Amino acid sequence: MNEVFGIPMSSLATVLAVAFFFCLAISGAIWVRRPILARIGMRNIPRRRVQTALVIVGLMLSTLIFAAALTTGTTLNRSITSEVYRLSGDVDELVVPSGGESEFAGPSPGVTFPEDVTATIRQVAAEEPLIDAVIPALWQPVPALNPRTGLSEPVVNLIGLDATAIESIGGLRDVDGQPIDLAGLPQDGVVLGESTAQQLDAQVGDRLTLYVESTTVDVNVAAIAPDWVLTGTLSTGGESGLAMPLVRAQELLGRPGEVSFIAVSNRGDARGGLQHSEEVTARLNQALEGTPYRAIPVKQRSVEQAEQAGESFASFFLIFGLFSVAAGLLLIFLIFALLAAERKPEMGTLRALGMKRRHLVAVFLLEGLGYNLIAALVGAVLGALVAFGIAGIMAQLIGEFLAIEPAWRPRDLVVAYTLGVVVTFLTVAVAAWRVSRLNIVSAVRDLPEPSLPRAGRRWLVFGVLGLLLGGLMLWGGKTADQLFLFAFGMSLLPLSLAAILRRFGVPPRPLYSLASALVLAYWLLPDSLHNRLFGRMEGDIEMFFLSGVMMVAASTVLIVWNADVLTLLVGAFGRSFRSWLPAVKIAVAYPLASRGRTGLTIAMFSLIIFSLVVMSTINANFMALFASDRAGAGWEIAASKPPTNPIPDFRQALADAGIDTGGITAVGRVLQMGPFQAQARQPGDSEWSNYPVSGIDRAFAQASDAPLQLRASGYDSDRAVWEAVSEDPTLAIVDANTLQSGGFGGGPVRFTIEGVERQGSTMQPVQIEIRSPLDNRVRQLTVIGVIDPQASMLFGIYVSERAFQELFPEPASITYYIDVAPGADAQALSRQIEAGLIPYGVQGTVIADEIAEQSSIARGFIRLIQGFMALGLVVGIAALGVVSFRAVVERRHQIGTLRAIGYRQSMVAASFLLESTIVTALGVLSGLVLGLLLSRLVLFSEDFNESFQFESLIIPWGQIAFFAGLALAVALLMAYVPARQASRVSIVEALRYE
Amino acid sequence: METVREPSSSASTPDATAVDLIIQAVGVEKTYDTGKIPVPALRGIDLQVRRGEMVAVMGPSGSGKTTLLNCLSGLDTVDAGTILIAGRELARLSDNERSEFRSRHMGFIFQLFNLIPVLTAVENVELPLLIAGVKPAEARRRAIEALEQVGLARWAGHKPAELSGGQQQRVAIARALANQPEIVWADEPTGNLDTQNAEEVLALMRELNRRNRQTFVIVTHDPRIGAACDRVIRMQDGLIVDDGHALAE
Repeated sequence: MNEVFGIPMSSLATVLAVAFFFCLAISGAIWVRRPILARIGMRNIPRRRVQTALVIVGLMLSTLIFAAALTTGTTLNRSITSEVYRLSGDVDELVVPSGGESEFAGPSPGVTFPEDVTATIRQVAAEEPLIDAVIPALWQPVPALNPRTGLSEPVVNLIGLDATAIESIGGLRDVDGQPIDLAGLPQDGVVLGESTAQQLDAQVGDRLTLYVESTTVDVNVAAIAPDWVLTGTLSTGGESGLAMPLVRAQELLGRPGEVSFIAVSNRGDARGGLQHSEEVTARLNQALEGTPYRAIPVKQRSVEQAEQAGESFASFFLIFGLFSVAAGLLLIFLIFALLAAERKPEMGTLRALGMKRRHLVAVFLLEGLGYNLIAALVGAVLGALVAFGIAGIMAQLIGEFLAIEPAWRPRDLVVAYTLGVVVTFLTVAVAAWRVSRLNIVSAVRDLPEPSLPRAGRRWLVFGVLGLLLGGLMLWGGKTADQLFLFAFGMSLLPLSLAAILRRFGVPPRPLYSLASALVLAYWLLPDSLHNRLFGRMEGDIEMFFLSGVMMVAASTVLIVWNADVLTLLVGAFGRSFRSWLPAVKIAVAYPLASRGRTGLTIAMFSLIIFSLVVMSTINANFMALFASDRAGAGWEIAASKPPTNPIPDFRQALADAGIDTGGITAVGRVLQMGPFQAQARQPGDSEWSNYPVSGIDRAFAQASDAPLQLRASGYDSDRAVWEAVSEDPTLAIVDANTLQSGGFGGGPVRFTIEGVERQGSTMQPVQIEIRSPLDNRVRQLTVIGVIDPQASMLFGIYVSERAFQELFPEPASITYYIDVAPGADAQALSRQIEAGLIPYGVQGTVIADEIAEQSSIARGFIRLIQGFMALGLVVGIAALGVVSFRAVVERRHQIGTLRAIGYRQSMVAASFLLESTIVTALGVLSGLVLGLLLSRLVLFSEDFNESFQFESLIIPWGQIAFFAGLALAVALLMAYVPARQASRVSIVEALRYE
Repeated sequence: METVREPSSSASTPDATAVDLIIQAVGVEKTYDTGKIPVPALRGIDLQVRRGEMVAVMGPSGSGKTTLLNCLSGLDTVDAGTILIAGRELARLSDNERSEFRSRHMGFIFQLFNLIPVLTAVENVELPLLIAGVKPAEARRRAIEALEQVGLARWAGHKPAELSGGQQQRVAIARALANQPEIVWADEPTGNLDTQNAEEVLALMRELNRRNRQTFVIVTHDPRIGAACDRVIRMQDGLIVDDGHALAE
């Protein structure tokens, strides 16, 4: 990984290293100047070993999240990069016909150019010592059959190579590393790629049948070579192939003197050649200037894409891990509040003896650094292990397409370690400053801090600063159109105002309740109303985090200041279980008495449950939408094929192959260009967007059950719109993603249509343009329909076959959609089609199976992310542990008193368990309610509604119950040990205990 | 945190030129405002203590003894009145200045000893010296001397948990005396000790007071302490009802 959130890792590492050493320097300076402070701080660490262990668990989580995210990014990057180097071998650049964005350009099936261009490239190579070899190649996907095993493959990439040229980079080698003499192969000899050999169960000496155009050709397997670009594996996860001499391929494919690409190898090995790629590409393109060809640095591009994929994953995991990091920071506050409570008399004494507040801060800072240095180390190591676990799950999910190699880099762990230490150090500094504010007299005598009728002056200062900052954010957000700033400002205002009013003696409960209710009300405003009131602003995935933090903060304040409602419930409970009422009363009374620590614990659970509920709910609704029965638009089987070997009449071809077509009720044909082979824009726009275009025939239009979300007025039905598009080359239908202007994410494949006027399910027709990037020809179209997202299989712009062929004479692929009669076996038919139409290279897929498989992969990834997010529960659990252990110590005397007046051991234990349950349940409930409310708001927001139009909210109760149950169960488990300790306290000793 | 109120202009100002007075308090008032019922703890205290005096403050529980000690020592603030300690008005000092003043001029002895559990006896004793900026080697030397004075030099390396209650209080006394403060404040110093230890501690304080001419202000319920002191101030309901004897003019 070279970047995270767009920040170069090297810069990040440098800044963090400086910050890390700054933290150490501050601590070192304190140590040197006041060794006594260091002694106090450091010797506090081993005082209570169980507590120390819990503190380390709590503090390590931030580092763990950082380390796991960065290492996951590195794993993915390394896996893809290894695959890129393996498949590219010594090939660094490809010369191909120009057209489209160079980022996505490459050879296309059936697109060839004169071999003479090789001479130009060789001339450059002769002058340029950085170029090792120039290898012209012809490529065409063909179907292949191994008659010995009866196995066939609809797409095998046949590659013709210049046998002499390939020798200059060491030639081809077989799977055992032995050289293969390509030029010396027999006339019918081919070198089979390893994957193709496995798919066909072929071995050296087997005779294979290739289906080339309308003829069959028998070839002999002379050798089996590892998969790489020159044996036909052109992309990661793509089809494998076979290689033969160029001349033979040209003859076989009927393309004499033609090539599909010219491979260029730079000086150096597979990895070493990369460093010259930029220079060589520039040199080649200089020579090719004015020609319709250009050089593409394919290896460099793939390595960069691997880098981006790794960075995206790391950023993704970091964003979703932020909730756990936030909960971890709250835990630090809680831990230091509890440590301060425990050492209150000591702190008071130190102050009485003349220590200043900054000395107390220094003591905590040094103690915190001690925990921190150990915790971050544990976190970094565990983070790497978690990342390896993630890699294992990813290997199960996508191992079929990409070999996942768990990998870690010291730099990632160093960055995670230093980041964890610095973040924790800063949090400890703030927490220490907070706890160092104490009343010396109360502290010395270990009495509660005196409650004051009004807040101190610093509240006024903070309040005014908060108001100013909030106002500034509102203004900045509105001016820059940034929802994050605006919403942050809106949340700060009521809280800051409450701080100011508290200074003037306004009672806290109504004040904080009102302020937090206002913050909640703002965040729960429907976005249509928000847009009306404040105007529309831009927001992205960061809003998820901000909304969570703000809503949870407000909800927690509301709960802790109004939790005495619980006493009413206790009364009701007591009537049913009178004998346990005392335990219940105690269990409720203590959390109410310690608003700070109760609030912090509630907030931690709430944050994590909130994030999990939002993720689960939004995912469940999208899965239900995209994987519904209508996802396949009414079709059962998709039979795709490359543009070569055209099928004149699909039904006839099936009949010729001996397939019973009686069960087939409809066949529709769709010609397709992929997202990087076609472009679209609205008239007047300067930029073109990459977006797939499909050409449909009338049969597809007539038999599809593809509902439209919007259709232009004048059409009676959705089918009428489809039929009109199939016949009129000026019309088009688009998918619903094109209407989504806001929302999260983006990417290279995104085309947005602005200003669609709608009324109910009717729209005003909109003009768009589509373009072929190969020759820049443009066609004007009128959009008369928008596909309902339930038909999730349909993606892109749909036009008539005629309009398509005018712009794209050679489609990238052709798909025949087949509908079968009720009761017919679609899977069997799909297999028959694939076997029977092997000469045409047809691949059959049962659409429902394909959707189920994709859903399963998507679900797997969601589970993976949820598991990662659930790590934050460890924080809440550690918090409960720390609070419970502290409570036993703190209440020892009171436990003695309760036991003396007749409390049974079981009552004491029950009250402790119940207390943990109540606090956890409040946190879980708060997170759950907020999560569901936010999910509903997001799913039914204007941005989402433009495209998806959810009918009702689907709540994944099963998942939610699992997370809530898990949190409660582990919380109870965590409280069990202290509860047992508490129940076994000796009455006499406890009564003596001060 | 409570705010410090400036003394009202009408309040009489202590006579700073009075001879050898180390504590001068005039019209000191302190009310605890819990938000519900204001509780007056000191209701106009006038008090003068001479340098080197050993004074006991006695009275029933809730009479304001500890509050008076806290206010006089600057640990707590006053609502009205003026307090001069060694000629300095603590209310006019910032929190940091008050801390520094305490570390240089005052020593404290608490009922519960309040030693720092993670530090050894000698480290506890040298703590106020280090805070006051004394060099570590010098602080250690003086801490050991202080421990010798209280008869605990051989326990210097032990932590509080390894010492008896009496020993812990001796360490606390050594800590209070290590920086040779002008005033030692003691709040129920024998309250947590058995009779024998209490007598030993009292004898030690008396001896140190006489030997070092340090002022001791001791809040206590223990009549033996009262009897051993130069003067006994009696309090009731936030007022001094008997200041022992009038100071010579």
